[in-house]
Amino acid sequence: MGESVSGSKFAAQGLVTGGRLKYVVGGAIILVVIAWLILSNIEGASAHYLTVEELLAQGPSEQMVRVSGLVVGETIEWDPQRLILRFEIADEGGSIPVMYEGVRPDMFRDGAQAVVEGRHSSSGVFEATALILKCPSKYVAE
Amino acid sequence: MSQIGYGVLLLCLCVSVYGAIALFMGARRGPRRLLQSGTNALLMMAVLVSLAAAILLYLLLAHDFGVTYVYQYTSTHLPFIYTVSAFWAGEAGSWLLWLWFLTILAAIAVRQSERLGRIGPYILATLAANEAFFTLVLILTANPFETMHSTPVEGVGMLPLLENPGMVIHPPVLFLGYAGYALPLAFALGALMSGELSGEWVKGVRPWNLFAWLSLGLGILIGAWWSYVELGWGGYWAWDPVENASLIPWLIGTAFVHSAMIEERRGMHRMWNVVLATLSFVLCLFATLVTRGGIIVSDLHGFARSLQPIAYLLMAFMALILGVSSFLLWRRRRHLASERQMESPLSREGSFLLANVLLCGMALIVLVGTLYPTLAQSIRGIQVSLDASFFDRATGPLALALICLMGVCPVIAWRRLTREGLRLVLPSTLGGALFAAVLLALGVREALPLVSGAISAFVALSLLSILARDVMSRRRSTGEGYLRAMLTLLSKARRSYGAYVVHLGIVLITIGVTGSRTYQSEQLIALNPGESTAIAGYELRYNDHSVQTLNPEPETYQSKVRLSTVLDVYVGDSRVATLTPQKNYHYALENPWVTEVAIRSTLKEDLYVILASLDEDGLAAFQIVINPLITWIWIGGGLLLLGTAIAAWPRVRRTAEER
Repeated sequence: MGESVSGSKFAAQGLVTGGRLKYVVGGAIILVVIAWLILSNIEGASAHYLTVEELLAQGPSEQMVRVSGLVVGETIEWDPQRLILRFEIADEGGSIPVMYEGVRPDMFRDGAQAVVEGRHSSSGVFEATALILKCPSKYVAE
Repeated sequence: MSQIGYGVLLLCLCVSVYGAIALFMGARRGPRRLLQSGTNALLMMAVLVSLAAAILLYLLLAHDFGVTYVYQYTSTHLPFIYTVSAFWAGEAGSWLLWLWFLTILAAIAVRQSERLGRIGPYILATLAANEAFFTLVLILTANPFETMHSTPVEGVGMLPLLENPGMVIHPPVLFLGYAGYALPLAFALGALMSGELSGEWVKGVRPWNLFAWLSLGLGILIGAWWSYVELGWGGYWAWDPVENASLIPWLIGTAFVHSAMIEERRGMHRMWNVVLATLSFVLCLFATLVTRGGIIVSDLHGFARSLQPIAYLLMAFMALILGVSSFLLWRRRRHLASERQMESPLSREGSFLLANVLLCGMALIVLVGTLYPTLAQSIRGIQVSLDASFFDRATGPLALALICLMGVCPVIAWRRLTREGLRLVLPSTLGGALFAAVLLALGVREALPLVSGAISAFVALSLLSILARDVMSRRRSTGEGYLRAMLTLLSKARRSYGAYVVHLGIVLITIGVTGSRTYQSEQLIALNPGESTAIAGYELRYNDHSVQTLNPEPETYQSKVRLSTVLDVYVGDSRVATLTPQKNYHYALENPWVTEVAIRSTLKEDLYVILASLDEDGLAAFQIVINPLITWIWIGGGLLLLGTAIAAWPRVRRTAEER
């Protein structure tokens, strides 16, 4: 019983008295640092996906963008000598040819949801530096 | 047989609900008979669920394709080990596995709880309620014993990505961790309900805490290893929602391990401990919610776009636990005040507190990052996704600060920093700076390896200096030889030395992560048979290729066309390895292609080869990746296991060496 009385004395000491202040200030500083870490990095790392329609409307530019669309099966061409993958991605608003140098991902096929990151070049071809495909869910039946 | 299984589950529900009620009522005022009866119900649950698990295992091994679960995940082609691992390949089976682990752990806890006085029955009551919830989920949304209308002749087969040793071990170990965290929750709620908040619960929960923490940590590492060898993208951690979801409770659990020590030694951080214990469990449920519940919106992962029924159950249970614990926390707030004040921030308590704040901060960042796309869509209506770079940049500094603290904590004394502590810290700090200078001299210019190299050296030296100091002082008092002194320390000061080994493991993981992140290199090349290519001092000669069809009849997920290539790896003139990167075409699958990478590991680096394509005439395209220092991550994981085993090894009595 006595312990809980003295315990509540400590609790009642309040935040500003004595040595507690430096812990509160220290804690606040850390919280600010954490908030800063989150906020300063979120804008830089979040990528708004353009639809193919939006990309076509924007036209060729030097800017690196991300575009999401469906892979059009008949247009897939794989050059095994130079490891270049050519295909078109499309949505209701149109389609655009893509050129990607790299390994053809396992999930890659007609109708796959793909995200390409790169430049819309002046030749009309989207030069992709990254190609990411949607992975199916392990647990839920599709 | 499956009907029996389902019947057993129904019986389990009744037994666990009864047990929870009996134990709870018995705890409050009960006749001993009620308590005894409730405890028996808990023990009975272990037996019953084991029976249900055995039935499922039997159905799998007997290839009873009339049971939906057996049909969905196995086929007669499947090797024995994967037929067994099919138990946890799908949702229903993995829930049953989780429940089974929970009942076994609860049964083991019975004996300990009976010796814990008033808190004991409340602990068991919470566990029984937990079991009741899991059984309810099984029955309502994830019944492993569901049957088909007619019995098919052959099963669908296992997804090829799951046909891998990693997927045999990863889910059980992970679920052992999730199940394990029910114990800290039970202890914390038990302490709150019984009012026994003087610290006994923290002492009693320690072995469970370490067990759950270790299992969860190893589960995460094994998952990363599986991702590395099976998914074949060259990496091991993509900060994807499923990975993050299991990391968050582990970070909170790490904070709890440390703050529990503070309460044990100094009677402080009582509120922290109750909160962290509850949170670790709730976050395990949250992890499950993310993996199966359909709450995460992500363009990259096919998480169900709508809430699954299980999500509602999970959210309700999480809300219940949070509500009950908040209410109890508020009611018992006076008892949760610390026995002592912290005398100085430059003390072990101070550094532990800082470490915990950093760990919780990291958990918060990962949580925010994981939920961001979902929140952005529901609040602002926009489709975004968060790059992996967010997590790296936001958690990186905190992680490095934490690792620094690992070097500081052992040297800093309880209550305040002493001169002796300073004398130990200084040389290690100089050593760290020296190491950074050496790296600079060797040509390293990137920030991450310099900083993490310096910090790793600092921590390693700090641990070494502690060991040296202790060995010296032992030799002074007993005159033992160096080796003998070290071994005695290891066995007498287990908690400390176990912790040092764990911290050393973390340092090794840091080294591995830094090396593979900063210096990864790759090459894309097409080779005809007989041609070679060179990378990083290796020469790879493409010697052979083949195409074969496996498991053609009957057609299941295991039926495939295997495209195989053989590469001989030379360093200088000697052949050091033969690698066979392959690609399998599983023609019964919607996504038929599965790549099997070939890896040659050394302590210095991994040579990682992906077969991109194979033509009829043998022209093969390869992606060759060099991952430096990556093996140190797995070695670090081994030290985590060793260190925890040392720290948790039961002792007969405490000795003077214990600090």
